[in-house]
Amino acid sequence: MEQHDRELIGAWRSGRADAARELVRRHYPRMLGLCYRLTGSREPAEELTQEVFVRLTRHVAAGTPIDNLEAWLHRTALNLWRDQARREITAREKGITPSGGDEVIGRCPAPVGVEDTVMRDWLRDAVRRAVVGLSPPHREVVVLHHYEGFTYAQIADLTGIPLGTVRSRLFHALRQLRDHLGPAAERGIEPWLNSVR
Amino acid sequence: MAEQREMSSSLPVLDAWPGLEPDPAAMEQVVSLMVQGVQVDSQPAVLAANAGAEAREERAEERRFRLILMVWAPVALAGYLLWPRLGLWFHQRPYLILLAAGVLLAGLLAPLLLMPLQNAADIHREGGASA
Repeated sequence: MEQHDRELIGAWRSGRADAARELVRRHYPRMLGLCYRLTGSREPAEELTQEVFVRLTRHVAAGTPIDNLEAWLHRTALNLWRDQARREITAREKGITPSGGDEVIGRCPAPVGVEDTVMRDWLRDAVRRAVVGLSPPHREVVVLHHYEGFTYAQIADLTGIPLGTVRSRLFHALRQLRDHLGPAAERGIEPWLNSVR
Repeated sequence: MAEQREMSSSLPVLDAWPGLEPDPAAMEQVVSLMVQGVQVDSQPAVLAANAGAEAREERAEERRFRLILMVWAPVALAGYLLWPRLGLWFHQRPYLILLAAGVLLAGLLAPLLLMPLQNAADIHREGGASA
């Protein structure tokens, strides 16, 4: 698979658009998913994903080899997002509130007596806000472990933080999510929906 | 054992947040950036990324327009269908027609009136971020 990526990169460097298209088809959806989970909304996620591929273009144009493209893309996305999050935190400390940002979330009340679809929408929004409401270091380990399926060791390798720190961050992040999401958190969606019907 | 611990350290409810369907236009934009960028040097890719930002803004505009249509088309249809029944009732209360027209107009104009405020907020935020 990695070998195949390398071949595609070689073909792309020689000017073949179909190789670039294949690389995008293969990696764009997962990178968009990662960026969406990190940023919490569509436009910033598309912007961040595009920036990752622009960085890849620069890297390849400079002739620097890439051993594992997927890991390289994840690492670049995380670094770009960390820079962006740092800038936002600095702006917030200066008293500039970004427009369209999520407010600080409180404990979500359980919606009783609402139709399934409405509850699903509510739950989806509650989960999104809870994950996006985590601090950047906590958010990245939750996204990488739960949504991207990386093991602790892989996360430590990707983010460059010690294994013990990954474990403790995930532990604290999940505890915060449990606190925010209330009764829905432990049981999953279906049993929870049945219980409030 | 470690894997088991990792598997159990998760919340099933997190699955309630689905992923995002990639926009084919955005993917094509990235392909064109990559093809252009790798051929010359990194500079055109940076310039093209700015062009990409405009395309993204256009797509966001289209999504907003579709949202407005989705809200107002059912309202207009319901008004058209109910008019024979409600016409007489409204005819006796002309001030309600004015009120309804005012609400409709406000609903249509609100996004236009709010846009400069949104732009000002964005400029303010970007200025702060780059400072």
